[in-house]
Amino acid sequence: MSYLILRLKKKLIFRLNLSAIVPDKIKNKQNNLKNINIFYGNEEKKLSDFFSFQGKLNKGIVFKGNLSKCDYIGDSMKEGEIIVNGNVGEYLGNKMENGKIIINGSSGNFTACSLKGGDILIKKNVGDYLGSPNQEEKIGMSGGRVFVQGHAGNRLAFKMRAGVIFVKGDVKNYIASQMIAGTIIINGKIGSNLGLLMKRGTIILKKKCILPSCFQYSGKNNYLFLKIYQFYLEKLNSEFKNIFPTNYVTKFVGDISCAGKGEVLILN
Amino acid sequence: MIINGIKIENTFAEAFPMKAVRLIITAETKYWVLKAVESMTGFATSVIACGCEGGIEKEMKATLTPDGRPGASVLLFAMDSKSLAKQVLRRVGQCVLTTPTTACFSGLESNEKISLGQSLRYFGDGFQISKKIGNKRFWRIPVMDGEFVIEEKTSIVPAIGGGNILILGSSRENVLKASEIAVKEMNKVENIILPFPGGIVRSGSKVGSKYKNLIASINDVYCPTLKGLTKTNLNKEIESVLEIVIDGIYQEDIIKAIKKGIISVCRKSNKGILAISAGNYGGKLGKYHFHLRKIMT
Repeated sequence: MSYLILRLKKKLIFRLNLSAIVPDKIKNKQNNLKNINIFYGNEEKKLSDFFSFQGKLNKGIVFKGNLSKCDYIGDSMKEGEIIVNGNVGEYLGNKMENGKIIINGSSGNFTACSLKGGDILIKKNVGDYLGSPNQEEKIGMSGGRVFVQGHAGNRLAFKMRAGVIFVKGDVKNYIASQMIAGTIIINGKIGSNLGLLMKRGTIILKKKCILPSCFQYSGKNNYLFLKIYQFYLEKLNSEFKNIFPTNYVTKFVGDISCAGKGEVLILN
Repeated sequence: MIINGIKIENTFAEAFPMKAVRLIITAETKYWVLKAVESMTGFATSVIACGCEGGIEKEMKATLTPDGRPGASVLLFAMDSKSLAKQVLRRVGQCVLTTPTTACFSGLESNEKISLGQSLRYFGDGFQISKKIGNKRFWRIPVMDGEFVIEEKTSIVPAIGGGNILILGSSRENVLKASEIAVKEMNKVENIILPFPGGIVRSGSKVGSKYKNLIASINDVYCPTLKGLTKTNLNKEIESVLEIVIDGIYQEDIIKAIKKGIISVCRKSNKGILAISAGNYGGKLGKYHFHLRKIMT
């Protein structure tokens, strides 16, 4: 078997910190998995108190069960895969550097916090502060790719520095506040207050919307880089086929209140 | 060795190590691609005085380019990386950036990188935008027709310059016709260019001169009008010689091009052609030797 399968065997009352259960952190501890310490609330417990084990860690870890109170999955991950067949808690992929995480459910707040590299795919919804900084960090996501097939919450890409976020559904308010750079692509509707204090970076919107007054109209033109981006995304996932049917789009620049040079490109 | 009445001389072409870069230029239409690449490689026949040697390697269909538009790949060669890097920036900056609707991409990957958009981005005067797509960075420079997209860096690879064949015949007309046919066939080979105008050079040179300041001068032993004055390599019947110079990335492709050139002359245009030879310096200067008879067996 290529994956180590961890099945949650009890209902959680407090939050469970799974930051220690990452492929590169446990690959040398496979003989002693049961005794790995994890925090349940503010108490240190053994991994075997919560999970049953099956298989061997070759490619990665598969979590089964309702992990909506399990936080820090994929924390600082450097290699391998994590697959979760269900929902997960907060801080998914926190400071992740490489590897792949697939969530066959929804993810909580602070997903892809300070993400540096790798891929995160969330098949349902995601909470607030996707791609934002960790509490002690000055910048948010600085690399990697996050794909959300459902909806996202507030404060998406807060202080984002690099990387790409794609949201297939709708996004709530305060997208890309203080964004520094990177690319956000939103298929669905957006909430209010997009791009406040945005310095640079690109937001691509598939649907027409009303932008805040701090964004100025900058004409319509052909943006060739969209085609290059499309070819790149198509290679990652066939779902991105023809994601930008045209590269003749409307551009807004802002946030002009802080001399920002961020751009919002609207496809329709 | 004689093929279809044409003597293949028992000699070799002597070629030298060089450095090369491949760039892919795209534009909205094939017309503008060709305008850009012809301009870029226009004054690039010889490192003697052009700074580099360059040519259009091949035209590219839209489905094969990084941005899905018509394109062409261009090869530039120089004696060292520093000179090549300088020429790349000048030519892209003055000839590609200026052409309507173009974009410029790296066409090769190696560990030796040189600046492309990384230097040219400053033309955007602070309005340029960087975009990292995958593990490559692109620069979007605002221009009057929209944006010029250029990859940040390109790569330099070791290459070979100076492979050649000489076509010797009884009249200028016959030799020119044979050379044109040879060039047409040789241009089908990838990873090579024929840097001279139309792929053919009529003024093949030798190293040195009676004039102290000249590094090269006419290859007098192949000049038909000097038969009486010099230690000529031409017999009575030869009245014209043309040279085709080949620069390439790989030896195998230069060999392929030489073979295609010789075969096309021997089979399709042998009227009035008496011999095919090659230029060398006694084998003492160049690292690469392309023996004609060995290639044709």
